[in-house]
Amino acid sequence: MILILEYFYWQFIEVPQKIIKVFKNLLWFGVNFFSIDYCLKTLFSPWKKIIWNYKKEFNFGSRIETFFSNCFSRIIGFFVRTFILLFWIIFEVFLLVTLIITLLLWILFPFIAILGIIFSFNLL
Amino acid sequence: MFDLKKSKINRGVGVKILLVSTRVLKIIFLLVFILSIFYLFQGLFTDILSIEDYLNFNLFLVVFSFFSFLLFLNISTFFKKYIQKAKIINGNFENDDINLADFLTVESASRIRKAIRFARRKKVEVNSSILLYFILNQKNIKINFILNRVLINRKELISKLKETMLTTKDVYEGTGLTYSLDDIILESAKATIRRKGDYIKTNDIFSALSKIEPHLKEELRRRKLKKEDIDNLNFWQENLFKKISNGKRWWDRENLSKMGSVGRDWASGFTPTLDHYSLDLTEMVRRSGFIEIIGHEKEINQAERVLIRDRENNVLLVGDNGVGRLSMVRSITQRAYLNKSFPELNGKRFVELNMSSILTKASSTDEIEIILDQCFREASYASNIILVLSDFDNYINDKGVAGSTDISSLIAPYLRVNEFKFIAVTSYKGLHKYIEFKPQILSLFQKIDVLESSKNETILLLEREIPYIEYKYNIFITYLSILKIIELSEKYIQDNPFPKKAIMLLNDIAVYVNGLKEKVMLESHVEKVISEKTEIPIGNITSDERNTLLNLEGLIHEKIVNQVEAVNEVSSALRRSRSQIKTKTGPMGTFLFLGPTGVGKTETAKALAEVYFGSESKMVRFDMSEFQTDNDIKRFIGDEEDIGLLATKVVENPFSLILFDEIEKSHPNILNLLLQILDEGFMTNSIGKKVNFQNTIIIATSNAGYQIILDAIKESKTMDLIKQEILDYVFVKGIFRPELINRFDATVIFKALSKENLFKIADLRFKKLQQNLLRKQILLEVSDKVKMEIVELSYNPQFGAREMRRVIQDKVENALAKSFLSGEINEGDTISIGEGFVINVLKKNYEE
Repeated sequence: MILILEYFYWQFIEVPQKIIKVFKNLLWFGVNFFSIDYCLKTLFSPWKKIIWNYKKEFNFGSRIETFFSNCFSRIIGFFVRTFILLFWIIFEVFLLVTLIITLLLWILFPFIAILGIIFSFNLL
Repeated sequence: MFDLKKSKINRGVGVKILLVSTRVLKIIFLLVFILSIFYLFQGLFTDILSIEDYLNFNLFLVVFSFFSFLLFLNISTFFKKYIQKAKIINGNFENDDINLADFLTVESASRIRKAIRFARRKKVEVNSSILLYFILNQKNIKINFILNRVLINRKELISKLKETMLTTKDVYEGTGLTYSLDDIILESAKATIRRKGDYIKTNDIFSALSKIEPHLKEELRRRKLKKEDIDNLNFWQENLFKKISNGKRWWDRENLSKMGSVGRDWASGFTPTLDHYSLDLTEMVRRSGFIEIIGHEKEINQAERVLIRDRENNVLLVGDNGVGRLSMVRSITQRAYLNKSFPELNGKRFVELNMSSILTKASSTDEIEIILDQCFREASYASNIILVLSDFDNYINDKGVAGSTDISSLIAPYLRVNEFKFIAVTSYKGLHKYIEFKPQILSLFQKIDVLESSKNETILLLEREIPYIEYKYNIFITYLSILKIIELSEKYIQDNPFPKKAIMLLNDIAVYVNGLKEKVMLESHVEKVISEKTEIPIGNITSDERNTLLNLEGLIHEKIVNQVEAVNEVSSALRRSRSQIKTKTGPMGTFLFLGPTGVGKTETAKALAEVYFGSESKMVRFDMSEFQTDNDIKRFIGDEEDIGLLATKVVENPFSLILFDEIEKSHPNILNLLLQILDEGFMTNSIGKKVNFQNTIIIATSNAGYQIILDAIKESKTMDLIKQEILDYVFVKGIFRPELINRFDATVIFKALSKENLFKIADLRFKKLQQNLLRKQILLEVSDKVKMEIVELSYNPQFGAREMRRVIQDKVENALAKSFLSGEINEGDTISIGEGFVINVLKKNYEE
């Protein structure tokens, strides 16, 4: 009797917990691999720190030029990082879907096997 | 408490039968499934009577076998996990309420169960031999690992156990009480805790049995292995297997983080010049793979803490070449790459500046400065760079040394910038010689001392290297040879510290064994390579020191005559010191020889060097009358420019006899230094490096108070009385301080020589002369009368035997030389020396 209870615990609690833990690691991997925290923190930072300094003497044209150049560097940085964030979201969604499918398959595994065996007799 | 029946694991052992049956069913259904698919396809292409019946039955077979296979796969996986479910052991396992059997793995429980059943059948108590027999009689890869590494033959051990296991008595050493099964399992649990394991495995029981089972104990004793060695081996194999199994768990965070990350450096600046003149350590670590970090953990943590500080965030790693300073940098780089360091450091790029490339490519000092400034500027601006520079002292000196340059003024402003993080690597010599003269630079660093690895750490490092070396050279390295490497490299090699010297030696021996086309690295290979490297005769490395110590008097008297009391005293003191009756940290032996000149003090030292270290050339002699002024002290002890004569000689000959001749004439500071050496067995030289004297014998000679000895001999005083008088004399006169005399293992008085002694010495001298002449095929005969004449002429208690050498030179050797040159004697003649030292030709080589 204890053995059967232990089996139910293992099949429906212990292993699903382990599967969730593995997926948690993979989710963490996504955050780490795509440097999400870093990308969010520096979302609008200039690309590769490329910026132009404003000249000391006042010149309206030159100021505007420097301003737009620096904005352009930031826009490039923003786009590349957004691109990475997009990849990350796709990766994480894919992971979540896989997790749900894996969990369902695992939990239903014994039932599928038993139903399959019953079904096989109908083929005779 | 240990009760196997009440433990959960015992049920697990029962479930093992269920596991086996479900596994068998699983395999059967898999085979049926494969065969039925094959049969199904085959049937479709052959003529059969009723296709419908055929298909129905075969489809049933396919579907039924497939789902049955899945079901039994599921159940057998559950059973497999179920039977391995032991409790995790923790610190309070010695509590009486806790059943130790709960911590056993199913494997170890089943072995114990077999041993208990066997003992019951034979109507005896379970003892260590029965348990060991049942542990060894089934193959176990982990126990085989331990046995193979210490060259114990499993089958031989099993057959020995078979003979005696029913009568074995497991007696505690010392108390006479006997071990029960409970005690053995308790010892096994302790072994599990020592290796930081979770469950009591068969190898832990084996480790416990190595302290109890008589045959196994004997095997280990024969190999001079200690109890801790089996623990070390157990730890080694567990670690190795754990590493392999962890490597397969790709989903673990540690393995996943090896993939690195993208986008970390997008907000950091470009570093084109720096990239050109540097080596990317992070990239190197990523490509070469990740290694286990062993040792210097405290220093690594300290360096990491410094690097994340807001101010003075530059690290100066100081240590001797070979202690692992660069390995430390590699470890910090690896930790940052694997996100195991502080968040501020994780993901940072570690870059080592290649100064030699800059120096060779730049044509002028100005150009060097321009390139360096650009590199520093880029590193500082990029904000994700940790710059590393080896041999930092080479670039902080303005003393015009070739191949070096002074970048101190260039780097100083950058070192003050928070974004600029710098790791400089230097030695103590470099620190004292150059960097300390630039306090403005030194103040910007946090100095971290990197000390020599301990012996245990070095063993772990060697164990880490072994799989690669074994694979590369296709050899098997025994644990015994590892211990030998540690023992001999500590004793005979001083020019490099641990772990470098041990790792280099391991590689050298592997090449040597591979060259011999042998498959196993043995202790003898280690001895051979060490002997070649250090030029110490192999006999002296392998010889049993015990035999030398037991026959020391005889061996010394083969070289010198007389001074029986002195030789006896030296021998007994050395025996006391080496048999470790008293705890001793100093050199192997330390002696003060007191006595008039020419009585055999130096000769005794030479004889001791030959007997103990294999050759007279293993005696390093210092005439201390040469070291009397302050300048001489610098020459002897060293200064920031030079490590000094003493340290140089001892580093070159760590296994030797050091003779300080006429010690009373040396500068008092040298005597103070001697106090430390005699007491602790090492000195710290001028650049802060420890020089080890623990494998040397130190002898200091002095003729202070010799007049007392001469007078005492006339009055026939006893040796004890003479010694007391002479010590009183040197203390009163302030020649030696009592604390110095007390630190010697023995103060040995050498008596003035009597005429009988001198006669024996004359005999020895003439024998030497006869041997020299024999090389020219001249046979020399000397009568006792002539020898006595020499003794009479040279007898002078003040100068001992020293006068004799002069007399023999004057009277005999000069006359012989003249006769030889004038052609009176020729090669092949037989000659004699008569009264008045007249040379007579007894027989000519050929008739003229």
